[in-house]
Amino acid sequence: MNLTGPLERVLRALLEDPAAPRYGYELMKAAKLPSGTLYPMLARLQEQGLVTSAWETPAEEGQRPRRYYKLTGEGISTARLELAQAGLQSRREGPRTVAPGRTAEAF
Amino acid sequence: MGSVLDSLVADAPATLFVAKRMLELRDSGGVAERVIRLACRRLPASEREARAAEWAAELPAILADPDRNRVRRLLATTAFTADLFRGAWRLAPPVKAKKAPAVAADPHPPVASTRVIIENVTVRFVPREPRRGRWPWRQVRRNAEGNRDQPR
Repeated sequence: MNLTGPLERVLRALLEDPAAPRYGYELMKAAKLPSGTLYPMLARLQEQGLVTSAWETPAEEGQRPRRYYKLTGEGISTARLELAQAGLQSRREGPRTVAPGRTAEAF
Repeated sequence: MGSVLDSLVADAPATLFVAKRMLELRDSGGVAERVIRLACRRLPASEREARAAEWAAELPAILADPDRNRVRRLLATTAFTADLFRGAWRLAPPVKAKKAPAVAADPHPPVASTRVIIENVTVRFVPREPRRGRWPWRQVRRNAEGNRDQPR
């Protein structure tokens, strides 16, 4: 997996609560990514088997079914490993600029 | 003041028409959904509907975002839908260049074909002994007729 800055942010957002399914706009806000970047990335992660998606009908009547994403078991371990490696690398090379407000020491 | 009232009264039918059209537009899914459907046209037919439904279902969440005021919500909706064109482009499978259908080897390669054309034109139209002066069109025509009449 080629861990880019946006991908790192998406993985961090999904890893905040790996068991909780997140919908697209929620992830957009958490990762601060535009829709044109997030959805292709989620599709790629899904193809790799790291993310799973499911349609869920909201509790409120009249609302449309929404697609929720969450990490698979393999996705959780892969994401943690990749982020840990990125953290180690950033410690060697200096501070990264891709994750504002976050530090690699968190992982 | 009077002029404003007059203009309002005069424009009332147009205002009512626009308001009605806007209500119709809202009921039919709104502009954003239409833009999403337009963006989804880049996707393969098998996943077009699912993607359109997924993205359109995000619109109420953006339009009801409590962290943003009304103007920023509208701007976020516009940015969300506009950027989906890029997203759909990235989601769409790459277009493969059309492969030319396999054909049998040309018995006359291009160079040979060109040579055949030049020979034919020369034999048919160009006089054997061109004279000085204007181009001898009559002789060219005569030669051509002569060549046509003569069996090869």
